[in-house]
Amino acid sequence: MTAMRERPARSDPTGERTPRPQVRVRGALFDRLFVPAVLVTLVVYLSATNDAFFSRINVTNVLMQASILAIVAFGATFVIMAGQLDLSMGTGSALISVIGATVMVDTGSVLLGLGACLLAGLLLGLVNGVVVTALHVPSFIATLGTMIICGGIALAMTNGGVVSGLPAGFREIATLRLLGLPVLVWGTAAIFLLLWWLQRQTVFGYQVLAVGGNAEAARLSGISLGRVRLLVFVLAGVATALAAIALLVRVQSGQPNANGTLALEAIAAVVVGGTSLNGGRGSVVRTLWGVLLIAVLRNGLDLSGISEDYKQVVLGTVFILAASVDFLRRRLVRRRVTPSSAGPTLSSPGAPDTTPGQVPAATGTVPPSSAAAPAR
Amino acid sequence: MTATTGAPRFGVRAAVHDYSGVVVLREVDFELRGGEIHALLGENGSGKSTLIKVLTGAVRPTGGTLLLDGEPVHFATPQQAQAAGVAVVHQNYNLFPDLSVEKTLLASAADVPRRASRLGAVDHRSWRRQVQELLHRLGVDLDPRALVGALGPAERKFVEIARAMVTEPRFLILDEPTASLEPAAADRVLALMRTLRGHGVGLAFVSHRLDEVAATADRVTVLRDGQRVAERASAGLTTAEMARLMVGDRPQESVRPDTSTVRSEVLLRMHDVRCSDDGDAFDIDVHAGEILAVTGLVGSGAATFVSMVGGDVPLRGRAEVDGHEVRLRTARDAQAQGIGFIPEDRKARGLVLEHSCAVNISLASLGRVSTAGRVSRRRLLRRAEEYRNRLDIRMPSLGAPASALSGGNQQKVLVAKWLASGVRLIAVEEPTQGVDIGGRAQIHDLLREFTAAGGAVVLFSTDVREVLALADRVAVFRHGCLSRVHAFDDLDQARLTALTAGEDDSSAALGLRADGAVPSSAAPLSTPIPSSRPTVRMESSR
Ligand SMILES: Nc1ncnc2c1ncn2[C@@H]1O[C@H](COP(=O)(O)OP(=O)(O)OP(=O)(O)O)[C@@H](O)[C@H]1O
Ligand SMILES: [Mg+2]
Repeated sequence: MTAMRERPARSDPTGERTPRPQVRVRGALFDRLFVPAVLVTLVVYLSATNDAFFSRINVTNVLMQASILAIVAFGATFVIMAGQLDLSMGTGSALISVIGATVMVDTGSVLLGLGACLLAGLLLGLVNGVVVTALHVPSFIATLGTMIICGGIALAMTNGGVVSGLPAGFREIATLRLLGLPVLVWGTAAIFLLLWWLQRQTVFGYQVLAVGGNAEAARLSGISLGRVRLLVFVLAGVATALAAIALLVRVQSGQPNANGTLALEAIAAVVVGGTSLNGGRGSVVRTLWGVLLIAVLRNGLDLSGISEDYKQVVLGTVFILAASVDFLRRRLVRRRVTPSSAGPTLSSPGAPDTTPGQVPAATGTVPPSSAAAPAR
Repeated sequence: MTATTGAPRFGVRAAVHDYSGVVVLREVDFELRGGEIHALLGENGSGKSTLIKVLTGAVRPTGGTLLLDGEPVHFATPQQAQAAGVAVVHQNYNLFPDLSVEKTLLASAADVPRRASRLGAVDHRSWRRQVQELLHRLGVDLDPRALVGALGPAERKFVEIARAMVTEPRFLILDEPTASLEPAAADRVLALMRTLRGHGVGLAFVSHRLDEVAATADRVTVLRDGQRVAERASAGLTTAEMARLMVGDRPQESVRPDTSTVRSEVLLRMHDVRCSDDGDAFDIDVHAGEILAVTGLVGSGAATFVSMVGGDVPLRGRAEVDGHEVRLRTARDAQAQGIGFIPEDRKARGLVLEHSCAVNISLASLGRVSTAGRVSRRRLLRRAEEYRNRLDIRMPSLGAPASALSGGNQQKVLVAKWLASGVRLIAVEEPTQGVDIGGRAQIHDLLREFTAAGGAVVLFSTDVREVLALADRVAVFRHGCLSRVHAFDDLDQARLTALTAGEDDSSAALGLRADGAVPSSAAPLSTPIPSSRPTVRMESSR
């Protein structure tokens, strides 16, 4: 091509230009569909090999089991997208379930109990957020601290026993069904939609990703790092409270010992879904896929009758594999992009491709957040 | 080190490369000979960095053959290239600030076991001696124990070059080694490159500063749109000819308009400003329609002043915007007062690299593309499209991540971000660092357009010609304090170069204040203000 490219006349900087060809980025679609594809494969496999899998009871069961993890993981997605971690969501939800149950038992009022849960969640989030933003404690440490504290308070409040005897009205809520599905599932779906909207459509959603992607650039663009980080923890706190309510609905009692590893599982679900632990890219939609994948896998293992011990081994392995998928995905995409070329090529298979100064995704793939808006 | 004779050669034949189907190198031939300095020229996005990555094993090209002394070679990794005698210094600092110089060099010496170990452990004394020898050979005066983070920009570049030279390569390839350096520092790096040439090393480098290319290079290769359009000896090649080879016959310098756009209205008035602990306090005004250039040596306070205006560091002093006293402690404060800030380090501090160009352009003004906290993606994209056209930003698509843009185009995205945000004053550091001549002229035009519409620019630039092209006034800083404010009319290149270099010069200076405490009301406005200028509405606030 020897012809010169033309630029618009300088005197007319807003002048019309011929539109440039829009290059469809090959990696993006593949990247987005990877986890859903694995999920579908798994579902097909399970339904083919096990009649019980697609029974109504089992499907309801899977969704019920997934809901608590989902609620926590949705909240954790925001925290992780902002480049932080929240480890306190697991024991936090146990503590809040104890608080909620105690209030309900003592006052006999469901509403007061739910209010207490939300308030406690808000408080937990505020504490985490303030410690991280005002005292500049790394979130891993800050929330590790509140995680331990929450576990301690929950045990101290109950002496290790469960708080049961919830009002009858609350028990009725738990058995309510809409279109054949329990309210818990609908509630989780509603939370998902709300957070999806928050992430995709609002200024706050964009700011969260910007802060996680490059805090310094976000700061110099006039975004308040402290406010965004604080809000993200508050949001996680509220999600923790909602998870506690879900727990109450499911088991009808305050459980001081429940959910010990829930925060870690939620982080795993977020990462399995494809949200970057480094912050800056991700989406609650991805987390939804990640949660469903884990829930279905767990259910499949249950159905197959593998012993509990081995189940743990399989799940742990899947977490590790899933976390490496991000890397593998990029490799795969790059392979596809490096087409056959005439003559001798310089490439040899299996070449690592990054130098220290390069952005890891320098070739081939476009990171997930590339579709004009930070999130899909 | 290999002698110049015997013609060591390294290069590539018919290099082809594409990123996700976008072809950026089209059958490029390139050859580097031992003992020469070979400049690689081309507009932003013409494929220079990509070619360098191909040559040094950082990317696998789609096609082409690497040739080392006439023999085909394969580099699957940068380490393989290094082992074959081809080293590279990438465009941005890849150094760890907390490591000492000698440890930094140690990290890149693949053959430490052979050279400086005793029973498998590093023998630090022997290593230090080797590092000293290397630095001495390079003619670089550096303490091996100094922490990299404590070094100046030129010294860090030296460390990067020394790090590349640890393996004693026969060929060294440098991507924009001088782009982030002030002229004096750049000269030192270029001198080091000449030293290496004297040792028989073949050097290739990228630069957008054509005068330094003319002064340093033996040969030039010019890329345009991923194609090689010229390869020739640089002797007798003028910078104008180089520019023509790069961009064709388009006009390359934006013309400084004859009329000033400065208005009498003061946009930002600053009192009792201190740029350092021991520097004197000073007052200064920034007028609507004005480009105030700020210059001075490293540590003179000039850079600090600009970051204070932009809210990057808290202002020490008082500020008035439109006559009202305001707080300027954070970038958020600054933005609330209609002030934007473009930092020098665009990758680390300017862009969210993995986010799309569209999002980056709207990052400082999400409120403007949203209603009641809800972002309209349609408006976001429309705005991005508008600025892509206005600034001629070359990007694969609006949704492509900012990391996929060439350096110059990334810079344009940053400028677009603030133009789009509707601020009235932009504090900017080195706005055309790493930008090609065409893009430079475009950015200059944009800044002028911005001031013509009533905005103001506070410009920190170590590039004298840029200051001459843009400035209405030049504030010279020395010893942590404002020393003089000069009207543009009183300056020429020689004067300005002298002033920037820290030479004292009091004649003809329209001093804001040389010493003592002159109240700001007494500060003369040193630029003639056109009496009858219609008040134009800010264009950027559309
Ligand atoms: N990782 C990537 N993914 C997609 N496209 C890319 C990527 N890296 C570079 N490009 C594109 O390849 C083209 C060449 O880029 P390159 O960095 O080689 O330009 P350059 O000549 O070094 O420019 P500059 O002078 O601005 O540094 C550009 O159009 C750029 O947008
Ligand atoms: Mg480049």
